[in-house]
Amino acid sequence: MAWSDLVNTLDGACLATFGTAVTFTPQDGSGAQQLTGIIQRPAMGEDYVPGSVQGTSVIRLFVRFAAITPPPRHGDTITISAIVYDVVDVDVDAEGGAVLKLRVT
Amino acid sequence: MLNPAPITDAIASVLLSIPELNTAMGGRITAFHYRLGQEHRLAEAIYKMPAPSMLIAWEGTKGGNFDGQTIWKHRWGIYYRMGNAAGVAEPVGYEDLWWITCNRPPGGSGPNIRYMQLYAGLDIMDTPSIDHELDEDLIDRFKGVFIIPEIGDN
Repeated sequence: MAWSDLVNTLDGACLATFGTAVTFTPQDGSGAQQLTGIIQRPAMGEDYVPGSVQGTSVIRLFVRFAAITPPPRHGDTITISAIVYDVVDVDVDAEGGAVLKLRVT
Repeated sequence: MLNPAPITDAIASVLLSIPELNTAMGGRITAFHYRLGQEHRLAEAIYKMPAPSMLIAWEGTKGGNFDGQTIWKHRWGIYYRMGNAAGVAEPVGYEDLWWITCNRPPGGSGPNIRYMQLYAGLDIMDTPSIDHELDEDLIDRFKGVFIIPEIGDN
């Protein structure tokens, strides 16, 4: 099995186990879609749980970048627990995953 | 010497009254006070700024003999975080925000903020400055500086 396939399988297992349902709204107008992402530790901890309904200001969200069409880019929006976040940065890794850096609007 | 706390509120209020700035910031121009227990620390407050928004924070006072009547100069940081410009026909970037801040009149008419007495006992501000900064995720943001002398010793 190729390394990329192994990583894809691992990412899928992690997303299924630790993932949170989010709504991805691309800026190209193609319509909102449901995704699963893993909320990661941000640069600075805040006084609410990331992804909670109270809404932290900054979230880092791991997604399976290669499986999303259109691919996320800065300027898109992600909604988590009814809180809307802008995608301010996209860090893509070589194996098809990406960390989206989100800031509350 | 004047208390900087109400002056911080006054600066935020005046900036909020600049129509173009208010629109660009979605009305989110707030004053920060170092009230431990009521507010987050300044670094966290800046980190938590939503897009778009502005934060006004007193950053210190310099005492000295500047001229015949000026012995206090207060300094405020004006933190900007612009909104998402994706799909916006006429985006308002940081250059535009600074130009609006320095030139557009509060209330829509009259002098701009640089030529206003923002609080009783203050002189008009020294020529303001702004600098580029990076946030914790290396995203661009800007911080302006207002240095405002007091008239005499209040």
